[in-house]
Amino acid sequence: MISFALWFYRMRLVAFILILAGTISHAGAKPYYEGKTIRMIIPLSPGGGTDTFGRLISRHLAEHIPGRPTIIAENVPGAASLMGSNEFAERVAHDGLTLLTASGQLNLRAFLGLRNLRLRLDALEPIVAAPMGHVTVISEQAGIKDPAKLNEARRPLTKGITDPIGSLESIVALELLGVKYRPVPGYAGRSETRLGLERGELMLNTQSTPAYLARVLPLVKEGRVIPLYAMGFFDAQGNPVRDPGLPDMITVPELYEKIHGRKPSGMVWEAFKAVVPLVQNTRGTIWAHNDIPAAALQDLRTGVERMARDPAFLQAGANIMEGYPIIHGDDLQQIKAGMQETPPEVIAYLRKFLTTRFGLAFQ
Amino acid sequence: MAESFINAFWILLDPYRMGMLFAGVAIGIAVGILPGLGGLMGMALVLPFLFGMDPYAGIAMLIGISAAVPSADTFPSVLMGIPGSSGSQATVMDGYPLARRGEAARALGAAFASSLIGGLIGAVALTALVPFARPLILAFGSPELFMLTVLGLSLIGVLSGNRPIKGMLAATAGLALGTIGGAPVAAEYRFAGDFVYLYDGLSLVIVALGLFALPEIIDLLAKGGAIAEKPKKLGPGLLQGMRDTWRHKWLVLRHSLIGVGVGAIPGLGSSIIDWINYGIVARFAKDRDQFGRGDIRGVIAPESANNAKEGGVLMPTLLFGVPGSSAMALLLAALMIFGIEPGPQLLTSQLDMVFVIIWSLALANVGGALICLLLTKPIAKLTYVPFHYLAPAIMVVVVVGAWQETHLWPDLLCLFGFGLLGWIMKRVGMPRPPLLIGFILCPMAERYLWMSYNLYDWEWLYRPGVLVIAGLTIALVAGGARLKRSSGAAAGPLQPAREQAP
Repeated sequence: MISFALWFYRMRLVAFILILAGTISHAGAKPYYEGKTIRMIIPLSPGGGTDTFGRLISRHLAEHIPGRPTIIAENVPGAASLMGSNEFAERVAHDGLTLLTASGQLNLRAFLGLRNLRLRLDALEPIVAAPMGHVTVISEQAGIKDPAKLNEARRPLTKGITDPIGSLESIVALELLGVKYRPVPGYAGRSETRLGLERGELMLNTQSTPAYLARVLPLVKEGRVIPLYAMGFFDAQGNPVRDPGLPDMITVPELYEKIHGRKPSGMVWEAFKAVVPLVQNTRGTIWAHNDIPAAALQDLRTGVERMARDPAFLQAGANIMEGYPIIHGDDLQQIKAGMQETPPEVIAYLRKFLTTRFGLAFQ
Repeated sequence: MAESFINAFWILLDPYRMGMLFAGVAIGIAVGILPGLGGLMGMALVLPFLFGMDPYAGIAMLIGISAAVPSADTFPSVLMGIPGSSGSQATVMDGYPLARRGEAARALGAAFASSLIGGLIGAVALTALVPFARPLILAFGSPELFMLTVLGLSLIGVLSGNRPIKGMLAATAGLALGTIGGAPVAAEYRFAGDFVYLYDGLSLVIVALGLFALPEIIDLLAKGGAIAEKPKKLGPGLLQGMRDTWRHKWLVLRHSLIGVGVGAIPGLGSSIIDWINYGIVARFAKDRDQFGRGDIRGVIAPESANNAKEGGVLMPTLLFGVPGSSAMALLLAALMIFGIEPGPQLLTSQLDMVFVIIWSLALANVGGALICLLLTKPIAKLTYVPFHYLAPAIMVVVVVGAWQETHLWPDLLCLFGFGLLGWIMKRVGMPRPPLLIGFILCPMAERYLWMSYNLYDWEWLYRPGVLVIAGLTIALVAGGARLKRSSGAAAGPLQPAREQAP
């Protein structure tokens, strides 16, 4: 049996060695990103809202990450974000030196497992996101004055869509409310659908809240268009809340209650709850791989926290964020948690809906 | 309004802003001269610098780029038969034969003079029309757009010359190639299998470069000699070209207005504009024998149109936030960065920015065309250099131009594949422009046909706009046939000159 003195001596030796090691490693520790360059893949052509957001972050995040790396934004367009996403998912090292800027539509595609898309959200860690609300309006030519009477349209209401996943949240909302609608695919973008609304060829139209305020509100004032509902957001506890950009407009769950007299429930409601938080970040989500070194992830998060408080960033981003704050920290984790908690039946339901109605193919 | 107009000029006259405008013009010229690039790429290059820039300077720079590219992209089209950007493909048809005859400077002089005047007309049209453009742009729905693609397809007849069957075959092949990739209106990918590369379809830049550039390079190398077959004095050529433009000033005006009009319709894109103008000038000209062999009108018409269109595409961009061309999507991003919202309120609350845009357009067109005119003589001398000195450099430039879009090796496969196809088509006398037209128009035609049906069932056929455009198409086709018969010529335009079938 070792004498107590020897044991005590050994413990002190071990403690001394540990402290020494800790001091040496700390004194020699430099930030993970010092002297390094981060590549920000933007899987879109230059010039869209998400691309601009990705470039904004690239420009400002760099100076707040410990070690002050350089971030270079690179457009890798093709195949509706598939090219850039697949490259990020499969062909770059998981060393924290590559980030991805995803639009809300890309998040949805990855979430649902679209065929040939190799990006998997459960292998990713969100760094920062930009929210954006959406608003649906109806042309006065449809003859409906009261949103609560939406189900009583005489014939199916035409709704322009770009592609089914791109407009999924608004389609699910219509399904939830039980509105008879007729999707008209083929529009190049949301602005073109707004043009269709103005021409009188489309009855229903969904725009982002900033676009609604800038370009559809004048039509409302002229009486040619009636606002119906805002998509709304979900807070950290999973409760529906109003769109902060339009606090006076009722949301889909509230309208449901008005039409049907009870709170929404059922499979379509679960699908709505799953889809909206992902699309809430339509403007953009910055992803990193979730198996990058812990020091890298920590430094990225620190950078975001500092950037969010930087007045220069807030001023430069004011036009691009169009009134919405960036999501970071705990709120972001909440979105990821919510995503992972989605029951598989809901995903199956969405996939089946998209396959039967629109012919999409999933993995 | 007049006050804003003058005020905007003083705003722009600031040295920094003028400097940025001319930096944009310089970038535009560089991007235009190198084949395969385009205004979009030039604007994407400067996008990172726009953050934090003075809005007027930033917008001036972007407009400078977009206005200079359609002027400068004439260089490769005329000198080497290589489409400089998608906006100058039709210039190859008559510009290149002129260069081969030793009249490169004349073609370039005419082209730049037309570009200058066309660009100015575009700016003037923008000023005059933008208050009234809203109802005009709204009048063009999916059915009308479909009829316009049919109109475009009817030009295949005139572009086939006296080989209508071969022209139809080529057009059909082009239509088929245009279906590769994502279906416009459904969620399926055709002929793509699991090749994600093909999901977007084939790239127009690569198809055009392959079809037109590679066969020329191969044939010239095989033949030996220089691009210009008969040495001719360069000097008078430039002034001669400018005089030609002045002689055909009504043509310049007509085609500039068509360019503005077609550019203002969102949903057609800008690649088809110069083909439409070339087809119209070839169809309605008296004495059409020389088209395809070096008729200067075949240079003047598309060149004035593709500069004037820059004024046209700004209309839906500024008034509706709907990009009139792919380069305009970048302008919208820039407007967003600067906090400027497109829409009718631009005309009331941001009128000085609108006029700064218009002045930038005008000044950039003038400056760009003048600089190109100055560069003409030295660059046109290249046509006398024995081609085997130039060919490697040109090949590199063409390959890089094809590569820069996506950096994927299938791009090069496609480039060489279409090069081979183009060379074979040249050998058998099958005209290539109809293939390109079919390729460009196929996705649009399919998209708008289905959207028209989905929106209106079959009632879209009775819409007044549809009937008007249908009537116009029939008139174009029938009128062309009648002109041909009355002129008594057995051959139509675009005769193959020796073995140089375009």
